[in-house]
Amino acid sequence: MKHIVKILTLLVTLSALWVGLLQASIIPKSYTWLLPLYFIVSLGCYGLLMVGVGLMQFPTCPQEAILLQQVCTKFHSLTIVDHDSCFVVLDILLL
Amino acid sequence: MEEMEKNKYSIIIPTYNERLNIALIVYLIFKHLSNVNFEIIIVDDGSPDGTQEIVKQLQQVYGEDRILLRPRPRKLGLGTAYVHGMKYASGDFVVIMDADLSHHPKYLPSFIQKQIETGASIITGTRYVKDGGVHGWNLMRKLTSRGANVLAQTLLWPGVSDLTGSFRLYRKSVLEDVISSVVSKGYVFQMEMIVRASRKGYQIEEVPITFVDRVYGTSKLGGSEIVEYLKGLLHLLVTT
Ligand SMILES: Nc1nc2c(ncn2[C@@H]2O[C@H](COP(=O)(O)OP(=O)(O)OP(=O)(O)O)[C@@H](O)[C@H]2O)c(=O)[nH]1
Ligand SMILES: [Mg+2]
Repeated sequence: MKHIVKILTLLVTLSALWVGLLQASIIPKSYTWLLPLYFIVSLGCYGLLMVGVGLMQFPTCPQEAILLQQVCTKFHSLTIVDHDSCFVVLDILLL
Repeated sequence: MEEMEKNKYSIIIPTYNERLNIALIVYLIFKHLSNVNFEIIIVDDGSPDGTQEIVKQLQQVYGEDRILLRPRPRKLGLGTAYVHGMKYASGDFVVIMDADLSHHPKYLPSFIQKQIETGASIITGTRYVKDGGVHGWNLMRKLTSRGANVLAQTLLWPGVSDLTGSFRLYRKSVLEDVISSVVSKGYVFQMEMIVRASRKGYQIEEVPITFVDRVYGTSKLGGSEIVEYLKGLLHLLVTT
């Protein structure tokens, strides 16, 4: 089943429940009418909250960057990569 | 451990103007995979900076059976570069990684270990968990990334936390199967790969990785990428 079908099925089920609620009038109709609005608003809040939390807890790794920079510098001082000859003296490192 | 020695791993590295990075990445791979049977397949798209000259010199040092240079005449894109490299892969497993050092070879053993432990078909590197992380992104880049991730998680339910990362290990047959059904390019390519694999029922496991944005060379992410991403998301909704 295509994923969009799954999502639509979910939405249709929710709508059916809502229509059921409207007809059964267990809770006052004025409340039931507002339910879809609550649904959309809470979905939006959920999205914003997730982005916000994700942003606040965004995992960073500054020490990794320093480590990598050190490795790069060491490597380029041991090898001649950056010159016209392009020659790579890796044997030094391999021994 | 025994299996680690029994299996062969083909590491595919696409390159375009990576002269300053390729030697170091190759050196680090050899350093971190000292007791593993592997080959490195470099797919270079005619880089004008002379990346291929460096690769040839690396072949002299490590041997042409360990480092395979399989170039293409011009820049033809990343997706097809993987397909091209895969044709020459003789391993049971294929690792895909970038040459720009944002994917550190020190994580390779944990990919292999995880695959052996779980028997999964795909191991994907994830930046958004404990022990993972990103360095070098500004607030805007982080915001875009989080927004894109929440959107994709809510709409696609992929079961994987990092959809656009491209540091992954695949069982070779699985990579061949999945890649043949992927149509997207660029950023969306990686997301389509993992979503399709997940829909096909392949077991996917994650390992934490850190991602240090490229030290040498330039990087780009603009409005057009965001539009492409949204289009890709829509495409995945209706086709998977
Ligand atoms: N063969 C080949 N390699 C490519 C091509 N485009 C990019 N690459 C390589 O693919 C890897 C990832 O490319 P990047 O430019 O780092 O792409 P990115 O990681 O999405 O973006 P930034 O690192 O932010 O610039 C690097 O190793 C590049 O050299 C291409 O058209 N052909
Ligand atoms: Mg990169």
